[in-house]
Formats: sequence, structure tokens, C-alpha cells
Amino acid sequence: MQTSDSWPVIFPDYKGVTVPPDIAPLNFMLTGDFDRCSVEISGKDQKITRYFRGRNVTIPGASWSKLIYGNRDGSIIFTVAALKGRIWKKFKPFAIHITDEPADDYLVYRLLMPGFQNWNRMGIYQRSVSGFRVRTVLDSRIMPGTCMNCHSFPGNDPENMVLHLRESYGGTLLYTNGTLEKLTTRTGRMFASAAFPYWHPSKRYIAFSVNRVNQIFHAAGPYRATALDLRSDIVLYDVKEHEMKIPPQLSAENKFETFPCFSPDGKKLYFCSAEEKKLPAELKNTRYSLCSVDFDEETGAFGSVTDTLISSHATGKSISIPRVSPNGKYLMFTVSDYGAFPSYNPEADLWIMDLETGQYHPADSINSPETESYHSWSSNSRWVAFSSRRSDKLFSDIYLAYMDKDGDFHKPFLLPQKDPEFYGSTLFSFNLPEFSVRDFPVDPYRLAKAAKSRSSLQVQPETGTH
Amino acid sequence: MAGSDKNMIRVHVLTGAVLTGCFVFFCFFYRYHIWFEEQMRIFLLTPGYFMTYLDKPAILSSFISDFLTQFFYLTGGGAVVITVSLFIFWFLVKKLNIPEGTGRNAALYALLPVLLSWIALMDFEFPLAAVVSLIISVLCTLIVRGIRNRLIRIACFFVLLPVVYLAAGSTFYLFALACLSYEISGSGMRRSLSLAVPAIIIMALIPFLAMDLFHLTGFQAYTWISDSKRNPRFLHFLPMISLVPALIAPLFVKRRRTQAPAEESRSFIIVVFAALAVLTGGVTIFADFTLEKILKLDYEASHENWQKVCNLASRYQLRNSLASYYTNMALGKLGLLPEKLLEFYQPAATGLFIPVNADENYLTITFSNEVYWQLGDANAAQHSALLGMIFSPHSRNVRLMKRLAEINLVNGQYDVAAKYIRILEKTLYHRKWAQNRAKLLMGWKLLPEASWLASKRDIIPVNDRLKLAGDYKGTLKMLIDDHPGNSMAVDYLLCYDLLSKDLDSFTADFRKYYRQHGIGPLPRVYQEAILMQIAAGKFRHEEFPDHMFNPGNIRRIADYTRIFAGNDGKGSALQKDFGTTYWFYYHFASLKRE
Repeated sequence: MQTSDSWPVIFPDYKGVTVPPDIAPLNFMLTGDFDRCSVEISGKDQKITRYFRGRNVTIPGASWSKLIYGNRDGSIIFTVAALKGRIWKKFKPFAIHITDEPADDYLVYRLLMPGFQNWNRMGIYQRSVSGFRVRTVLDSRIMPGTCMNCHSFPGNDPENMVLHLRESYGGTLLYTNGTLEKLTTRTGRMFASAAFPYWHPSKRYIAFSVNRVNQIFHAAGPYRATALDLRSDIVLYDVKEHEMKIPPQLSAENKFETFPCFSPDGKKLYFCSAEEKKLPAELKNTRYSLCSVDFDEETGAFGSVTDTLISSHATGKSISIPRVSPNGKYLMFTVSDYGAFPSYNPEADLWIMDLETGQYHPADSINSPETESYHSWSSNSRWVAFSSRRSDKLFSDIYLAYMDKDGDFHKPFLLPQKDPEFYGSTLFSFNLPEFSVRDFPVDPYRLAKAAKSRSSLQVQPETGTH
Repeated sequence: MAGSDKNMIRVHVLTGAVLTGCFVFFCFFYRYHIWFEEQMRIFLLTPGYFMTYLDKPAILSSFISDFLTQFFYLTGGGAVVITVSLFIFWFLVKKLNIPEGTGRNAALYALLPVLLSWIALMDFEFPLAAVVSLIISVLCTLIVRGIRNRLIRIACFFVLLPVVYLAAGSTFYLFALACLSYEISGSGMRRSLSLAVPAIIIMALIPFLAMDLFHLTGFQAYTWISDSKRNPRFLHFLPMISLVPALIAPLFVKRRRTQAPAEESRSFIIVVFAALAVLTGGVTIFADFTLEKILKLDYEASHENWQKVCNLASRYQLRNSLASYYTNMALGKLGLLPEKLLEFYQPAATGLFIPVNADENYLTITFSNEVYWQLGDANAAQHSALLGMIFSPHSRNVRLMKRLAEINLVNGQYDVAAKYIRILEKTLYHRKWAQNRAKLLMGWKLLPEASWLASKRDIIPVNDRLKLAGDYKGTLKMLIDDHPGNSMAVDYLLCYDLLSKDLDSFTADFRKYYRQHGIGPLPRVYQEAILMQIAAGKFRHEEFPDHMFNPGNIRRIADYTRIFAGNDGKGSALQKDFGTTYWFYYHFASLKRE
């Protein structure tokens, strides 16, 4: 057997990553043509050795679980060898670090084919982090012709949930305390239905952005398409009173306000704001700042003054999708050169802000030259799930990254799949990943029945806001 | 030779004639449907790919039919696959021996579902999987019927009910009915009911449970044929339904007496005429020979046989926007668009571009990228191709995957191109193509295969700008602004103006973009439009040297104007001599729904 002083080239690249103690087996494939391969995974007092035909390494779940659980807060070493012709080549061993801090049990994400304006098959699915089981939350087989936009749970707990649907059976599904309702969220003064949601931690309120989105295409270069947010405001839905408040400080005439996010203590609302521009002509000059405004849970009122935390004038960049860690220490957001929807901007990166010091910087260790966009925190604030197009620049996939006690991110890893060749053959993109602490409680047919229901609860405008 | 043997020979000859006819039909009269069918799918020889079939019913039939459909790529392959499938179907139905105990008539009767399957297969949306499903169901019926012990037979029947549903979808009704009819024929009412009632309840329950398991709507679960046809039509069930009367007849009618030879001959002749009538009616109603011609144009265009496309278009003279789309594309590639534009049917500007939106079907969306690709707008071609993928059956489409690989090679997006190429490398008949393209992922300049890539890169936009989907003029102007030598784009822009009867835009675009190569008359349609505009004072005659106009054309516009004025603007007097002029188009063409 030859011994190589180089690491094996594997996909997904799991070399040196940090994983939660209950992660599903990190199956991978060797890049290159090999007749056979073997892997020896060794940890404290334990070792797994397996041989495989071809170049795919698929690790048995039971042995894997035992091995990583026994090596929490430590590392396991992978030693890979591959046979080509008659010669076995043994690569330099690599380590995988296992934390003692689990991620949430599930990821809920949307799957659809990249295709810009139209879709045929899409769905929202729940995937176990510790295994490969995928459960359908709702998909186009049950709801043909319906676009499923955003799913949001307060505190990563789907016991309360809001889901926005468009086109056929459009509306907003709200699941609270075991009750499922279909809402018509557009009230008199709103120019469209409520779209991108964020729950207040009390579960009494949901802040929504209301957007008028159109899509436009690039003629050349790596940019494919851009979603234009032609108009946007932020509104507040009172779950208890079924009332929609339209706070004037979040729906200014000459501003675009979008992507609301409450702080974990519920006293502040973060959002993105840009000066109104003529679109699409001024798209490349449309940049969003990160702002915040105080919120009083008792009265449901916002403060009169909005603070600009990061000004687009200062950075020359555009901010979207702010998300505060559940421990309230950090705020993660997406930064791109322009616009509100960074999904097709290759330069889009994730940035992190220390809310105690106000310092912010790119999260370099998890970014790539390709698009990083949607992200969510685990309930213990240690893990971030985010979508990235780094694998091939077109299809977005879900990556998980660990943040240590010092606030530093470790090398992220691609959500493992049972078949290591899965990502090479799937024609679907994974997006809108949200961590979830429990199994999704609502049957897809119940969701579909509610969505297809002709009757829906018309949300009322707050008294005095007509 | 005994009469019955003679009759059996006649039945087999008739069957052979039907199957031969089927082969000839699909091989020679429907070959481009068959070829396109293969393009709309992909079959990969990987375990992971097989797993994708497990998330809906008709697992086995869908897998087998997709495996077989890849042979449609070969000349005659599709006809062979269909004919052999129908032969197997006939053979197995014959073995069912229905109407019960009639022997020779069973072989004859078995031709009915075969004929109906053939007719259904003419429908673009009827999947081969439906025939394979029927074969699986009949085969399972024969297996169950072959078990001698009644108890074991009934137990197998109940065990196989859900299995057949999983393997073959809603054709499991046929399996259930065929087994039940065999079992209860001649049995007492009580015995019959004790078997039929639980069987029917289970039969009704299986799709109901499948709804939850596979996340289907109720209609889909009870009518599932294949993933490529989620909401089948009545026609798609005719082959199965045709067997029902014969299956249930024994339950109500006593066995018929054996026919005398003379009677057999008469019956046979009636059957032959009936078969001919069914087939003629089916072909007349369901065969789409216009689409076959369009698919032939598409086939030749995809092989860049532009002159052949023009020749075919001249021969067919189809009044169809898809035919115009390919004709115009070929004329554009040959530089003949403004010369011969009005020699063909022109449904305004819809013959230049196919709209890409949810109102179009997957066929037209699949076609829609071709013109962008030929014009050089790689990003617009990509947008259309991605949408075509989305709306294809199974959302997999080998033709569009190839196109997407090429587009991303041209755009220098090698990682995306590599993904499509790696997938294509796992196919049986597109592997070689993929391996050739894979070479381009590394050092394309070194390879002779890269000449097409270089020529495409020469015309794709270089300056980024934003545009809305369906902004055809914006697309064309962008292509010309970046590459003024893109004469196809110039002709498309000017013809777009002319076909839209927007002469002001034509005047402006002609002045800005048209560059004449060499000395000689302008292309015919430009001459005619410019003469109109000179007459209207929009162009000055001095702008154009005399050699740019054919003297005959100047005389003709004078004649046209005279006749037009003399007939109160009625077109009938002008149609014969001026029907293919732009003047006639401008005054009399109106867009009608096809």
C-alpha cells in the first residue's frame, strides 16, 4: 500500500469540520476514479473499519451514532484508502471535531428547482438532523399550483407556525395552540398580503413585511436573476385580536422596509430599510441599512424613533435577512452589493454583529465566493444553518456551522445525505432552512384542507388605522 | 385443415398485421413523436435514481417504461419497443382467455385493448408506463389464476392487491376484477359475496392509504398511471376499460356454444372490419400529424440542418406559430429572413419568439430556448431551459439538460455545466456526448470540439443590463449593441417591427442597426417596407441609392396602390399578385386564434 502525504479529495468536504454530537453519518465520496475504498474511523476506545466498492463511503448509522456520542467534545480521525488498479493508496488522515452542544433536532426547508419566476414542483420538508428521514410538511403533490414561501416558528418551535402561500389557494396559514386557521392578511391600507414573517417571542404578535416583488433578469455575467422589491412595508399582526397594525415608522412613503426580526427579549424589532428608488433603473443603487426600533409588548406599539445600526451609506453594501441569536448576543445578516434579495448575488455573504459591542464583520470562516443567503440559529445559539450556492453556483444547499463560546465560527459542513452522490444528481435547490426543536405537529392534509378552504379569517385593520 | 385451425391461423395473421402496422406507424409516420418522447425524459443507471421512483405508485411500470423509453433514441427503437410491448400485452390478455372459454375468440378479443393502446399512444401525453402497467397487472392475474389451491390463490390475490398497486398504479383494478371474475364465476351468491365484498373494500382502501403515503390528491391516488401524467384523461383508461365487459360477462351470461366454421368466418370478417374501423377512427381523431411535422422541423433545427428546415417548411406550408417559429429561425440562420419572411405563414411576431409563462405547455416551453440560443442570448436561453426542465414530465429532460450544460460552458459557469454533464454521463445514449463536453471543462481552447463554443462566445452579451422576461426587442437590441455583426439579431429585430406593423420602430431601428453588406438590392421585405415609408414621408428617397431597390418593386408598389385605391381597400383583388408582399400583410393580415 502506498502512503500519500496529501489529504483525500472528498465531497462533501468534511475534513476538519465541527459537527453536533447527534449528526447523521457523514457519508462522502472520493473525487476521482477508484475501484474500491476503505475508511477507518477511530475515536476514543472505538474504531469503525469499512470497505466499499467504488468510491462512495456510506457509514452504518448505529456504529456511527455510538462512535460520535462516545467522542463528544473531542475528535474522531478518518483514515481513507483507495484502490485503483492493483494499488491501494492510503491518504493522510483527517479529523472531525464533535461538540457537546447539539443542534436542534430538525431542519425545515423548502425544495424547488431553480427556475426564477415559475415553479411546478416544490415543497416544504422536515429533515431529521440525526438521520436521513425526510417528512413532508406540504408539497405541490398535495397543493398543485401553490407557491409556498415562508415558514416561521417562534423560538424554533413549530407548535406555533405561520406559513405564507401564493397563487392557487393563496393565503396565510396560522397554527397556534393546536388551532389551524387560514388568514386573509391584506387589509384596507395594505397594498399586498403579508409575506415574510417573524414571531414575537411572546407569540402574541407576528411582524410581517409586505412586498411587491417582481423578477428581472441579467443579460450577462454570473448574475442570473434579481428579485425587485418594488415596494415594501412592515406590519404587525396581533394574533389575539386578529388585528393588523400598520405602524407609520415602518411604512414610510419614501422608504422600503423589509425583513423584520424581533430580539429574543421582544423589546426591539430589527429590520432592513432603504430609500425608495426608481426600479429597476436604480436597482444597483438600492441598498438597505440595518435598523431597529423599540417595541412595547404590552401595548403592541413601536417607538417613535428608528435607529440605523449599519448604514448602507457607510458600508456601500446592502443588508438583508437579519436574525438575532436566541441568547441575544449576536445578529447575523446577509450582505450583498445591492437589493433586498441576495439569493442570486454571488457576492452575498453572511456577516455577524456583536450586539453588546456593536462591532460587525463578515463571518469569513463560513463564507465562500458564491452566494450565502438565508440563515437560522439553533435554539442554543451554537449552530447556524444557512443556504449557499458554493457547490456549483446554481443549486443552493444547506450548510451547518458551529459557533464557539468566543463567537468564532468553525468550518461549515454540507447537510449529509444517505447517498453521497445525492447532491451531484438532484435538480432541486434547498432554501429557507429553519431549525426546529420538534417534529412538525400538523399533517400535510390538514394544512392543505385549511389552505383550500373557501372561508378564511379576514384580518381586521387596527382600530384607528383606516 | 379443420375450420378452427384455419381460424386460429387467420387470427394470428390478423394479429401479425396489426403489430406490423403498429411498427410501421411508429417507425415511419410517428418517428418524431417517438424521438421527442425520449428527449423529454432521462434514465440513469444508478441506484440513487431508482430510489426516486419509490415516492409514488406505479414504481415498477414507471421504472421499466423509462428504461425502455431511452431506446426511443435509436432509429426504429421506439417502434420496436412499442410493438413488442403491445405484442406481450396481447399475448398475456389472450392467455386470460376472455371471454371465458372461447379459445380462438380470446385471441381475437385480445386485439381490442392492443388497438386501443396503440391509439392512446398516439396521444403525446399517454405514457408507455400505462401499457407496462397493464402488462404487469395481467401477468399478476395469470400468476394468481395459475395457482391450483383455491385458498392459496385467494390469499395470494389479497397479498398482491397492494403490491400490484405499488408496482402498476391504478391498473390494479384490472388485476382485481380479472381475479375476482375468475374466482366467483359459477360460484354461489353467498360465496361470491364473501370474496367480492372484502376485495372491493380493500381495493377502495389501497388508493386511499396511498394518498397519505405518497402525498397524492384523491383523484390522483385513484387514477394513478404514471408520474408523467398525474391527471389522466378518459382515453388513457380505454385499453383497461375495454377488457371489463369480457371480464364480467361470465358472471351474467352462460358459456356460449362453439361456433360453426362458417359462423367463425363471418365473425372473423366482422372483427377485421371492426378493427379497421377502430384504428381508422383512432388515427383520424387522435393522431396529430401536424405536431409530427412540427417535431420534424424541431428535430432538423436541433441538428442545425437549416436548409432542410426551410425545405420542409416550404413543403408543409403549415399555418401554425410553432412551425413559423422554426421556419423563421432557419431563415434567420441562413440570412434569408427578410427575403422570404412573407412566403410563410406569419402569426404577427409570435412566430419569432415563444412566450415563456405558465399558460404555455411543456412542449412549447421546451422549444422556447432554441431561438435565444441561436441568437446568442445565453442567459435568456438558460431561463427558458430551466423553465422547460421544471415543466417537463418528472422535471427531467435530457435535451434541456444538454442545453443547460452547453449554456453554462459558454458562460464559463463550469461547476454548473459539470453537474449536468456528470448526470448525462450516467445515461446509456447521451454518455458519449457528455464525455465530449466534459473535455471542455478543462482547456477548451485546445480542442477542435470547442469551435462551437468559441463561436457562441463571440455573440453572447458582454455588458450586463437588466431586462424583463419577454422583452424581445430589448433582448435583440442588447445583442446588436454588444455585437453589431450579429445579423440574425438585426433581421429578427427589424422583422419583429414589421410583423408587429410598427413601422415607426422599424424606421428607427433600420437607421440605427441595419448595415448592408456589399452592393445590391435590400432584402425584399425591407425594400417593401421602406418604399411604404418613403411614400409616407418617413424615409427620404435620397437616403437610399437606387441599387438598393429592385426596379420591379417600385413598379409593383405603384400597381398595388392603384388597385388598392380602385377597390375601396378590399384585399381580394390584391391577394393573387401581392399576397406575399409586406404591403398586403400590413393592410390585411389579422391575428386569429389557432
